[in-house]
Amino acid sequence: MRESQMSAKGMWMGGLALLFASLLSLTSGALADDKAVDASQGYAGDESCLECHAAQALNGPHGATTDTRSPAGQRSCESCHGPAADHVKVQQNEAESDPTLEALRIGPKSSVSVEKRNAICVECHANGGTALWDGSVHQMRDVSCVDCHSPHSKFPDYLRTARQEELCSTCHKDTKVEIQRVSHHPIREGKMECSDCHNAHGAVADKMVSANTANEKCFECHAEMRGPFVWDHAPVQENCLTCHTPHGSTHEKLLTQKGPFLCQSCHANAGHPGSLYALPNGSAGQSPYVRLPSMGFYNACMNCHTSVHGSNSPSGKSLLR
Amino acid sequence: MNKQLVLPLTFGLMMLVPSAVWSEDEKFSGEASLGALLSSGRKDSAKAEEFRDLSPGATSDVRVRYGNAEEGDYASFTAENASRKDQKAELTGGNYGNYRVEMSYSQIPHRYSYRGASIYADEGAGALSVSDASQAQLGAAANSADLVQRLNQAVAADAEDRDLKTLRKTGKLKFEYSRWQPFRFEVDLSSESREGHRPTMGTFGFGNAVELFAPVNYNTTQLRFTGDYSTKSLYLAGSYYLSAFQNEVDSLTYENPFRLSDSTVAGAVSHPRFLNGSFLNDGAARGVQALPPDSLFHGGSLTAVVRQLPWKSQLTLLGSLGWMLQDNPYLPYTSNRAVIGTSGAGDFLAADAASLPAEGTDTSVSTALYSIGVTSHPLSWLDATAKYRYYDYDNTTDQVTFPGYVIADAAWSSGPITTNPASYTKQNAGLSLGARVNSDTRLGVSYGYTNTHRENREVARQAENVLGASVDYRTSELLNLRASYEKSYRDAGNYQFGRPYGDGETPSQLPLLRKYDEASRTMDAVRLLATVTPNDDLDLTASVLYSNSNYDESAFGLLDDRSYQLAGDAGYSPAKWLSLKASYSYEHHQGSQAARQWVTGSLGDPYLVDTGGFSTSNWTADSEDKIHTIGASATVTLIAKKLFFDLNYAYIMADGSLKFDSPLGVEGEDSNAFVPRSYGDVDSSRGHRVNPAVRYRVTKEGTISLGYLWERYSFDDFQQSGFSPVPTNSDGSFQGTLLSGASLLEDYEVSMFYASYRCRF
Repeated sequence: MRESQMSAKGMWMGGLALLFASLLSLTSGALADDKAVDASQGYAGDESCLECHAAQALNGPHGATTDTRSPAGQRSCESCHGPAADHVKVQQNEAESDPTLEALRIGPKSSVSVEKRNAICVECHANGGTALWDGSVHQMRDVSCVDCHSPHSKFPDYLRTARQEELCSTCHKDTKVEIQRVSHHPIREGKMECSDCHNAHGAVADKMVSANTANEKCFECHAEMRGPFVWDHAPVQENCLTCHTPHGSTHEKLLTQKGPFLCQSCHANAGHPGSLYALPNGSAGQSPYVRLPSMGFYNACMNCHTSVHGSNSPSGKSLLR
Repeated sequence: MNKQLVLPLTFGLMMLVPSAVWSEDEKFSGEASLGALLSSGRKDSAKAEEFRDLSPGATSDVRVRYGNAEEGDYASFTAENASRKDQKAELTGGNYGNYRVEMSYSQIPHRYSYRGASIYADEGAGALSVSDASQAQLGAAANSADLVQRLNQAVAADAEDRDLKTLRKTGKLKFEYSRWQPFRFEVDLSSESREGHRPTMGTFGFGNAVELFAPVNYNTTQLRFTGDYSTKSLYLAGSYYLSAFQNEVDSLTYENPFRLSDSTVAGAVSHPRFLNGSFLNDGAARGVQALPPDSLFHGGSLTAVVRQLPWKSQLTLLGSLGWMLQDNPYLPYTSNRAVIGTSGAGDFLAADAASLPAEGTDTSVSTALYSIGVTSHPLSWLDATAKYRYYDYDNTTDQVTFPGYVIADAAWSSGPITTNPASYTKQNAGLSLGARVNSDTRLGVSYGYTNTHRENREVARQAENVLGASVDYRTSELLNLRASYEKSYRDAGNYQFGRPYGDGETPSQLPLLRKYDEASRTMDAVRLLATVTPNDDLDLTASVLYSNSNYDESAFGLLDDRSYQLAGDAGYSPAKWLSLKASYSYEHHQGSQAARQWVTGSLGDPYLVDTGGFSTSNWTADSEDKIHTIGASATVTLIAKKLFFDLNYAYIMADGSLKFDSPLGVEGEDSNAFVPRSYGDVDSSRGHRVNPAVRYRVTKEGTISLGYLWERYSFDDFQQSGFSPVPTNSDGSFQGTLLSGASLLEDYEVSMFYASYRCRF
């Protein structure tokens, strides 16, 4: 059966390669320059804009005049905000109304639809990490690019806040409190950020994890758990999140429940936990170290089953070695 | 020269570079700060410095930026916590639209313990020893109480505090070349070393365990090469990824405190113990554990996104293949040279690696991911997305049959036993529809289907159907409302509880237990988020999360899992000089599980008597966790453009409880009849963090900052309360474990003053 699966994989990959080659030849015409714009379409020029909006001057790659693909290399402010000549006339009292003002506002509180606002960004940002934006959870839930980014921001990646977790926790309230827990990834210490594991612009894995699977993401930093081991602990290979909760836990080692209770969710073997919760004579009021056998206290099951992620020892069947 | 001063001084000198060096089109700017940190209490507990360095000393941060508007060149250098254990630095440069180079170096400390007091000495190369004198003393114990006394004496004489920590050092290089538009190429290379020690445990048989410290000497190299082609209508990308993991120490060897030489008898796995006045301490002179093996993962992927299709549609295709490989020499069955293994071919010395059926582990997994997705906007008010994803984790490792194995280095257990490489395939299909009802409202419905096929696990085929609905309502000014509901049904089909066990092996598992990652399940999940912005000065956010998982067909194992969270945030800026924020969250988690106390041959043994689901040896446990999290902050401008005050406060309070129940059995009829113990306070933790700080702008360029951080955490865990390195039973006899306390959660209270001068240039 595995041989047939392998040949099926080969057919898949061959088919994909052919498709890529065909698409490349079909779409090469799209390379033609299409940014020619009629100067008479109502553009005012960035000098006019900056007279009043100097604080919004572009910086970083958006402000690079030498890059013809950047806003500054094209029509500067009006590359994203659209023609502003009418707006300038109103501001200079050369016209009475300002029909274009709403169209120029594309920030989070704009009345311009999310699709239209996002289309401005997607015009350029539809490759690399943003290639899978269309169809992503955030796109499908009406999140706009400017909810998280501002091209005028001075923070990295034009984010609206200095730190990613501050921004993401605006909506993800459960994560916001989880990273405060006693067992946590070093997010609040500033050693990790949300985008180390997630791609907020779309991914093929659940929860926008920026890898093929959650495990492949975990193994990037925890390669020692990767194996494959001679004696696997099957759920480990299938999904680290069966036992661990990545953002924070009240239980050590980011476990979803403390041992032995976590282990007992799947294991009720003979002798384990025989007499685990019984009260021996004379133990009432004593510490757990008196009441419980060694599989109950301290690291519980992991007092003995230390190789819980898998073992390479020929005597590692029970993950003791 | 104090190395903590090297970086700050270097960049201090950079600040003196005269601006005349730079032409009109060039801009050189940045900021540098020098400061000092005073702290107390950081060694109260390893938790205080788990991922950071709070040691007193100098602090420095540097940010330097260079830009040439005419040429499009740019460069920046950032260094944080320079020369401290948690330092990081990044150098970036490039030319806009042409290329970009990023180089970074970072260190992340991970501290486990300051006071793990172990009688073991580190001999290096993964070998831990106990003094011969202590081994001889312990091996001569007259009775259990005497053994406890001798162990305590050994701890007093030999145990040294172990500073258990690792330091992760990572260097990264990224090069992106984008000049040949529409092509772009990117190379990412990272090299990481992790060194130190971590706490672990080891055992010499059933009912005994010793706490150890394992060496960590890992090196991981990762390389990713990506090339892509992008136009408005088409995006193509190909990438290759390689990750090589190397562990310099392949095994942990630790001496048996209770004996000096190897021996074995049939019952050695239950030693050490006393019987009829004799100390039975057979077993290995030292135990051996396999440490994480060297391994390699590499693979490639191709992605295609075709845009501008009819109905504003987009087609996304992705194919990815990967291979995980691990081939290391086998450790022998045991280090115990007294153990004789048996096989059909005759007896052999189990400590001799040549007696193994293979020389190397030679394990391999191939992974494959294929994904196809179509998103479409056929009508101005309608979006549709259809996706299919196929992921295959194929463990291609050959099965290996061992004639038996050595239990805890103590005694041979005859087999044969055969490895069961587990594989699985997961297929997901989904359809989502989104309808814009009006300019403010969007409704969504979705259906998802997941089919999981497993080999060598209990459930060969598992199917899950997920129905979802969502509402997103956002007005430009006042209200932003997001709500979603999901209902899922997972069918485990035919649960074969004995499937992972090899032919001829007797399952020791309860037949009616269902592992929760494979069990049938119904799940409800609700998410609600509402943000109200009455005016520019005030915003209020409320959030409700609820989830409920029921494992209705499980008689044993996890039965249900419920949780909800209520959270609220408020931000208020009544004046330009004042900004206030506050947040509160309450979480409630509940779970129920059921199991049975049974030993082979008892009345509760389902293989001895068909008890069905009921036995007086059954027990249930209901766990409950309540967590409160409070946050508050204030930013106050005391003197416009001069003096600023910041205050941050965080508080977390978590309490867990556990209630057991069991049907009462009749004494004499059910040997396992018992009254279980409930724990009203399983674990609790309290955390406070207060951080006031003042910033004063001395000049336009210079700012003085003064701050104080007070942090206190307290823990109470029923598995750790009453800790003793040599736990005893209620009658004072040896309980079986020798602990160092390296895994204890200890309270801490840290006070930290910091001051710095930041200069912009």
